[in-house]
Amino acid sequence: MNRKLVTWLDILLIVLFVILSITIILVFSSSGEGNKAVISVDEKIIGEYSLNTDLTREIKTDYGFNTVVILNGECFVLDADCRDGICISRGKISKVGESIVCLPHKLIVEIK
Amino acid sequence: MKTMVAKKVSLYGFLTAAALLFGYVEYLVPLNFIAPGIKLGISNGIVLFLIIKSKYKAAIIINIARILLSGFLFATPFSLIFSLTAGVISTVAMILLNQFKGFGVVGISVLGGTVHNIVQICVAYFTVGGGVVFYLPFLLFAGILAGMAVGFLVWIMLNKTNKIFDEI
Ligand SMILES: [Zn+2]
Repeated sequence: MNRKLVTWLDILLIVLFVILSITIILVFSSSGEGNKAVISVDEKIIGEYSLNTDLTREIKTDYGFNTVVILNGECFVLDADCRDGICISRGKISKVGESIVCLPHKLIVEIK
Repeated sequence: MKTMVAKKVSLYGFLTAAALLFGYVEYLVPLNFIAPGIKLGISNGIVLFLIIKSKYKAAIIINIARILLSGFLFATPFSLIFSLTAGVISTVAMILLNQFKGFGVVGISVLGGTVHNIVQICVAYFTVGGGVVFYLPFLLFAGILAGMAVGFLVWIMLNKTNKIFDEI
């Protein structure tokens, strides 16, 4: 029995597998941080805001109001007078394709 | 001649039983708290042990026997397909790597562990659907860690056991 416990080739093999795992994680988990939040009401776009600039905007419509906040590259609904409050509990979004929907107010915030 | 055959049969039986026992211990003490489906694969250690001793036929036969028996004892037909596919392909992968002198016991073991988990994900992909791909990196990491642990155990086994297993 002359096979060694660990060789440099073993370590190379392990490193390759680790790189493969990390690559898969990167490819699948962050399909890219988004760079803008697109807000629409009744399927009409009412504003596009860069995620790089912090801002607070109160969107008032006939349905009610939603306070949309952009902070540190993330977007969330801080406050709203909708009946379910789902838009507030949705939390922060920042990745391409993520969205916050407020059904009672027909409001959609989507990251692009 | 007769005693030789008897010796072989008893060695096959002993190693299959040992592999079954290890598998049963892992079945009783699941590592599911780390992530679902994670196993150390000590029973694969028996297979690795035989591969490093270049007993390929014994490695394949004992591994298939172990998977079939444990399948009948404590698995569903569905999970039997999973483990049989993954078990056979990872065994072949380890045999192939054993043809190269430059690799150590840990390297061959890590390849077995990762290939085993990759194959399981592939089988799951075709039966359950695409969502399982997200799970692949974690199973790859698990395969690396389990492979290193099993490789170390087998290396000790190789240095502690006497020549009795050479006759298989
Ligand atoms: Zn709302």
